[in-house]
Amino acid sequence: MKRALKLTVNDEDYEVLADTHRTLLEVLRDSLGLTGSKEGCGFGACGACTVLLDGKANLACLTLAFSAQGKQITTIEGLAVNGKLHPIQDAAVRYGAIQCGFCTPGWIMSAKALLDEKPKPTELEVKTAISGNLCRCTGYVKIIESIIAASEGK
Amino acid sequence: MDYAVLGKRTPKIDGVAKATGSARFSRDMILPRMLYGWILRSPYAHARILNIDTSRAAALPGVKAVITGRDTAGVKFGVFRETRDQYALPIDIVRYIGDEVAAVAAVDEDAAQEALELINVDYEVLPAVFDPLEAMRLGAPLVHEGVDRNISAHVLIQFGDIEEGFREADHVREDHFETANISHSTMEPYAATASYDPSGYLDVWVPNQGPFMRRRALSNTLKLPLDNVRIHKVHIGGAFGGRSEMMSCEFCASLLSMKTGRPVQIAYTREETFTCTRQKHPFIVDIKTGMKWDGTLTARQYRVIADGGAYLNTGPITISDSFAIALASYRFAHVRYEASRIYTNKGVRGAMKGQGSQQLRFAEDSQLDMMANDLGLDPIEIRLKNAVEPNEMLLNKSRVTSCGLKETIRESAAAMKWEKPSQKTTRDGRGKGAGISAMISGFSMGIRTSSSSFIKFNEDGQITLLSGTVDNGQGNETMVAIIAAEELGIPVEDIRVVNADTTLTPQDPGSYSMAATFVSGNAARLAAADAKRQLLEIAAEKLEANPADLDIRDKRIFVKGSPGKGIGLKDVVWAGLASGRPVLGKGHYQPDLAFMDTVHGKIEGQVTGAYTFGATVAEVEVDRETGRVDVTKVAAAHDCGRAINRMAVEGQIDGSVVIGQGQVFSEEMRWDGGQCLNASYTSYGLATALETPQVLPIIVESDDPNGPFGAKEAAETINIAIVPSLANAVFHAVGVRIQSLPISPEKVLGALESCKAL
Ligand code: FES
Ligand code: FES
Repeated sequence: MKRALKLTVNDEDYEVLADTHRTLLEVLRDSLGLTGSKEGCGFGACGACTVLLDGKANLACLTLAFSAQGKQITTIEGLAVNGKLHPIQDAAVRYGAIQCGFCTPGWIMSAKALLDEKPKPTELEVKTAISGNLCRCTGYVKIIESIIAASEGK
Repeated sequence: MDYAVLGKRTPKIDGVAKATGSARFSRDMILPRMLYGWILRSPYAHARILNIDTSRAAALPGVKAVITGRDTAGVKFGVFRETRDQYALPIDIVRYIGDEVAAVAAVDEDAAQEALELINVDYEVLPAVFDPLEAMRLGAPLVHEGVDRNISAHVLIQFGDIEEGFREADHVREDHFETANISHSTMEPYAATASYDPSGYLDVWVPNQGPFMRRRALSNTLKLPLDNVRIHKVHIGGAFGGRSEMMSCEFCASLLSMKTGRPVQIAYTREETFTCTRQKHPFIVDIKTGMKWDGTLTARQYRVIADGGAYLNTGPITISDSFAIALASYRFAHVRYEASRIYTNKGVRGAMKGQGSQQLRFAEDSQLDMMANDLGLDPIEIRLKNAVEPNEMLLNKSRVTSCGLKETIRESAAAMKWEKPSQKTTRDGRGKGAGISAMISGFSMGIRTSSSSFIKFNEDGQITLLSGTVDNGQGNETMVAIIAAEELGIPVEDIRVVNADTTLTPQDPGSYSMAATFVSGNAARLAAADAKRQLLEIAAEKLEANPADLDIRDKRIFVKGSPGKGIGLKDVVWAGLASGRPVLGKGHYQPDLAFMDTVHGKIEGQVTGAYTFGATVAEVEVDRETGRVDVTKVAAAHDCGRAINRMAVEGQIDGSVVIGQGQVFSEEMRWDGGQCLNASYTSYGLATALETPQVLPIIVESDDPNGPFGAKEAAETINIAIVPSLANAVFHAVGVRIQSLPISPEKVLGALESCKAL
C-alpha cells in the first residue's frame, strides 16, 4: 500500500508516495533519482548501498524507507559542497583508489562515518570500517591509503 | 627519455564523477516511461520446453509484453561462427538451472515479478550430466545433441618429439592439479537498459568489454541493421573478461522495447549475475615434465580437461590461448598439449583474466617448485635458468620482442629479501614461508582487429579525443588521454575523451586480451601524431620555419633550440580554421599478426603483438591448528613495457594480487548437481579489506619496440603469477603441497594431519 513518505536527504526535504515495504535504497534511486548509492547485492553483503543515517553508516538495501523518516540521511551526492569535493573524495581520486567506481560511493560513506567519529584512525580501524565494503578491482590497497591520507589532511 | 605527462601518477579522468556518485552505470539509466523487465529461468538442469502459456501473465495489469523463444528470430550467438550454440532466449531446450525461458516487461518491478509466476511452462525433464569426466564417458547424457561425448572443443598441439624430450631428462614428474570454478564477481550486477525508437534505432546501455562486438551480436540476433544498433558509452562496474559476450539481458530488454515502444531495463540480481552470466573455467590438469639435474627443462606434456558448462562461445580461446602463451615463459624443445573442453549442465564458463592461463600456470609453476625441491635447486635459480629472453623465437614461430622476465624475477625476490626457502615459525607458532612464481601473459588476437582514433582540435586549443576503447575500471580512458597529451605537448586536462560508443567513435577491438594499451593506445598516439603534423605545418608558415624544426610543449609551438621563437597552440588552431585547415587527426593501428585459429588449436606464427611478464614473491603465515593461511606481504614485479600511468599500473597490480588471494584461498562456486550452492557474497568468499596484505608493486620497463611509448599491458600477468606463488608459499611455510584450488583451511589441515601420520 502506498503512503506519504517524508525524508530529509542531504539537507533537503522530500515527500513522495511509496509502498510501505520499499527499502531506502529503492526510494533514493527510483523515486528521488539519487542513483549514486548502488545495489551490489540487495542483501546486506557488499556495502555498495552504504548511506549515513544521523551520521552512522547504514546499509540502505536493508533499511525500510519509512524507518528513515525523521533522520538526517546523507548520500554520496551530499558530500561535495558547492562543487568542492569532500577530503575523502578528493583523496580517493588523487590516490588512485577508484577503478570501476561501483563500490566507491559505499566505501566513501563508510569512511566518512569513521572519520567523523575518529578523525585519526589506525590502519586496522580503517580496514575494519570498510571491511563490509567489497571491492573487486583495487585490492583495497589504495582505498586504505586514501582514507589514511584524508585523515592526515594529505 | 624525459616525458611531460607519461609515467607520472595521473588521477583518472573519470575519478571525480565516480567519487561523487554522478557516474552512471547501466542501471542508473532511468528513462522516461521506462518499463522493468524480468526473466523467467529454468528450474531444471536439462529439459525440453513442451509448451509455454503466457496468457495469464500478459493479462496482468501493468504488464506490457511477454516474450519467449518463439518471439525471437531464432539466431544463435557467439564470437566465432563455429561456436554459436546458444540462443539469447532458448526455443526448445534449456541446459542449465537458470537458462532463460521467457521475459516480461511491466510498469514496475512488482508487476513484472508477479507476471513471471503466472507463466506456465510444461517441461519434459531430460537426463543431465554435471561432472566433466562423467560427461566424457560413452553413453553419458548429451548436453547438445550430436556432440560426441560432450567434447565442445578439443585441441592437440605438439612441438618437437616428446618421447625424446623425456629421454633427455634426468628427472621426470607427473602431477595432477585442479582449479576452482570462479565467479568474476564484478561489483556491478549485470543490467541493461534498452530504448527502441519507432524510426528503427535501438539505444542500449550495457556493461561490455567491446561495444563493437556487442553491437554485432545484438544486430545479428535481433535482425536489425548494424548501424541501427547503438551501444552507448556507460560506466562499467568491472569486467575481468566476464563481460566479453552478449547476454540474454540486453537481448530481452531490446526485444521488449521493440515490442512495447518504451524503454526497458532489466537488472540481474546478484544471484543471477553469479549463475547466469559467465564464470571461470575450472581445469583438471595432468602435467608431466622432464628436467636435467641442473634444472634445465627438457619436455612437458599436458592433458587438460576444462569444465565448460552448458554452452561454448569463447571456450576454444580459453584452452588454446593459455597454451600459446605458455610457450613464452620457460624454454622447451619438446612439448605436447592436449585439451578438451566439456559441456556439462551447469552455468556457462567463459573468459576471465588471462583466459585459461591462470589455471595452467598454477599447475606448471607448482610443479616447477616441486621439481626444484626434489633436486635441491633454488626456486629462483631454476626460473632464471629456463626463462625466455628478449628476441627469442618460440616453438610456434612467434617472436618475443621486449622481455623483462628475468628482471621481474630478480626484482621481486630482492624486494622480499629472498633467502633459500626454509620453514620458519612465527612467535605465535604459525608456519611462515615465501613462494615465487614467474609468469607470462600476452594477447593473442584470435579475432584480428584494429583500432582507430580521431582527434579534433577545438577553437580554444583543447581537444576532443574519440576512441572506441572501453573502460571497465582499468583506466583506459585516462590511458589514451595521457598518450595523446604526451604526443601533443598539452596537459591531460585539456583533453576530453569520448569513447566506447558505436555510433560516435571509430572501431576498436575491445578491452579483452589486454589489447587496450597496445592497440587502442597506439591508435590514439597515431591520431595525435597526425594532428601534431598538421599543427606544425600551419605553425611553420607563421614562424617561417621548417616543420621538422618545430616542437610542442606546454601548449606552445616553438623552434627547437630557441624556445623564445614560438606561437601559442590556440593561435595555430585558429590559423588553421581561418585557412580551411581544421586540425583533425586520424590514427589507425593493426598489429601485424598471424591468424590464430583457437578453435582448431593452430597457434603458429606471430600470435601476439607483445608478451608481458611478471613475477611475484608472496609471504604467508599458516596456522597449524586451524589451517588458515594469512597472506602477509607480496612483491609483484610487472614488465608492462612502459607505465603510461604509474598509479594505474600499481592499481592493477594491487587488485590482481588480492583477487588472486581470494581465488587461491577461499573463492569457489560450489555445486550440488546443477544447483550452485553459494551464489551470494555471503557464502562465495571474496577477500575483504581485512585480508589485504602489504603489496610492493614493482614496475619493470622493457620498452617494447611496437607498444605506444614502449607500453604493453598491465592487467593480467600478476593475477596469473600470484596463484602459484601463494601455493608455493604454503608449501615453504608448512611443507604441505595442495594441488587443488582453493587451498581451504580444511585441505591444509587434512594435509598437515597426513604428514603427521607418516
Ligand atoms: S546492496 Fe546493500 S549491502 Fe549490497
Ligand atoms: S573499484 Fe571496482 S569494485 Fe571497487
